[in-house]
Amino acid sequence: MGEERDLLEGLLLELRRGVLVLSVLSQMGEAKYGYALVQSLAEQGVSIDPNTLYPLLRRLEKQGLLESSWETGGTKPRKYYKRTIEGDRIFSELKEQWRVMAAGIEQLLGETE
Amino acid sequence: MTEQDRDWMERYIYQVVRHLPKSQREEIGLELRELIEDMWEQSGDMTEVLQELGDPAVFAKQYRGEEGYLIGPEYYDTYFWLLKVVLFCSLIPVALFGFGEAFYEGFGGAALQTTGDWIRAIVRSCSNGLGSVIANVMISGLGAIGSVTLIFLLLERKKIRLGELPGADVISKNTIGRDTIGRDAKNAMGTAWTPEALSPLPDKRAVINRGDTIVGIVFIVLFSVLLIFAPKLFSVFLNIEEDLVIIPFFNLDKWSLILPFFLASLWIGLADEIVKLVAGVYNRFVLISNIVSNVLQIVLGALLLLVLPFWNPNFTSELSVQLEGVSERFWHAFLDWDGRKASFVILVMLCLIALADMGVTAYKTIRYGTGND
Repeated sequence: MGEERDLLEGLLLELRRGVLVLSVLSQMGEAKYGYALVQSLAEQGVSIDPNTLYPLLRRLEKQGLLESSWETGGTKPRKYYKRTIEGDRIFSELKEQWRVMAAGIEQLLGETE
Repeated sequence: MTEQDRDWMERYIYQVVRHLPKSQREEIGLELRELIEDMWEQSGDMTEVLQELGDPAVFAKQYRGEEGYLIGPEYYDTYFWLLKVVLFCSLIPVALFGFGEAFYEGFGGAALQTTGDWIRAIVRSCSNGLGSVIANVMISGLGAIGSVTLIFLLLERKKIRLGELPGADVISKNTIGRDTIGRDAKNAMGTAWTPEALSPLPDKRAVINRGDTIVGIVFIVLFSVLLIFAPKLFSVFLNIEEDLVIIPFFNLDKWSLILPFFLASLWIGLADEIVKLVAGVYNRFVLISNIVSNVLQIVLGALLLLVLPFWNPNFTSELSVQLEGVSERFWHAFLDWDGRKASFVILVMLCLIALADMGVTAYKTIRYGTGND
């Protein structure tokens, strides 16, 4: 039984990993700091561990999809991330692909019921 | 936040960033401080926060990505196998020579009348030998691991994908499935892949088996061990009036000058064998590596034999002194020994062997080999 659960968890993780970038990009139209992103994603049922999200943000920045800036005005320094123009383009492309894929999958799943 | 909480936070951050490249540590440290403070404000319990963040080493790994390895999965099997071979055929001879020498010295000149004498001689030999054997085993073990690793490291770092040419299945039978996705993405850089890019299956006669290369590798390793630890074995051994007289062929006084060149030449040959082993099939890479290593070996050979004081300069004079009154014909033949002549003969032989080797490799590559455009 435990083995089956491990397997399921592994598969879920992979499934979620696939849409991680899309989920994160979707939230970055406006500048957000990391933990606010964790919370807003969790509120909408897409929970991501900080130890996955923070490295991912850095990677997306390195790839040119996000840009970051440190805000030092508040009570403590915060790093804000925001989509770049290239990020906007990639995001809308990914969104489009996702919708096609989701519709396809939905249809596939409908057939089995 | 209490002092205690802050301390835990700093410990956690330290454990994450210490695994990261120096250039990123400061910024990631700041990011983490921001994150942990945010999370702490939510829950108010530092232990809970850190528990949620999980093992700092795992966190650091996520930051690093998957790039951190010395020898990648593509070479790992071959690397590990070769490491075992090289360690096996260097450490055992090193240990045997070490004890052999210790026993020779331990028993030499000892009166062996009683059992007690024997035991004393054995104990003396073992205790004298053990220290040097342990030291030599460690040195040669590290040397073997180091040289094999260095060669594979170069292959890995330079992204020399010998295995991308036909014969990939020979070297990475276990890793191909795991690797395909990542590699396809890499190949997709710029040029689109087409089925025409598929090389034909290698001709059976072009396949290089492990067995073909292992003979060369074992020979090179054993010879290196002998040259490093027992160059005296290359000597004339005379038993004159119960005394063993050793007259070395090599110039052991200048050995520390000669040995590095000798070993360099051998290890170039080793690198060539490893290229063959990893490629698994005759192709352009193998041919180029073969030509380069043969040329370098001849150059080094010429340097050793013609320029450096390679031969024992006192060989004939020592021998003629020792042979006075010895009637054994066999050794008298060595009185005609002439280092220059020997150098010349050996060099010609080396050239012939190298030419034959390059010829065979070139023939097999051109006739049967694939992947050479």
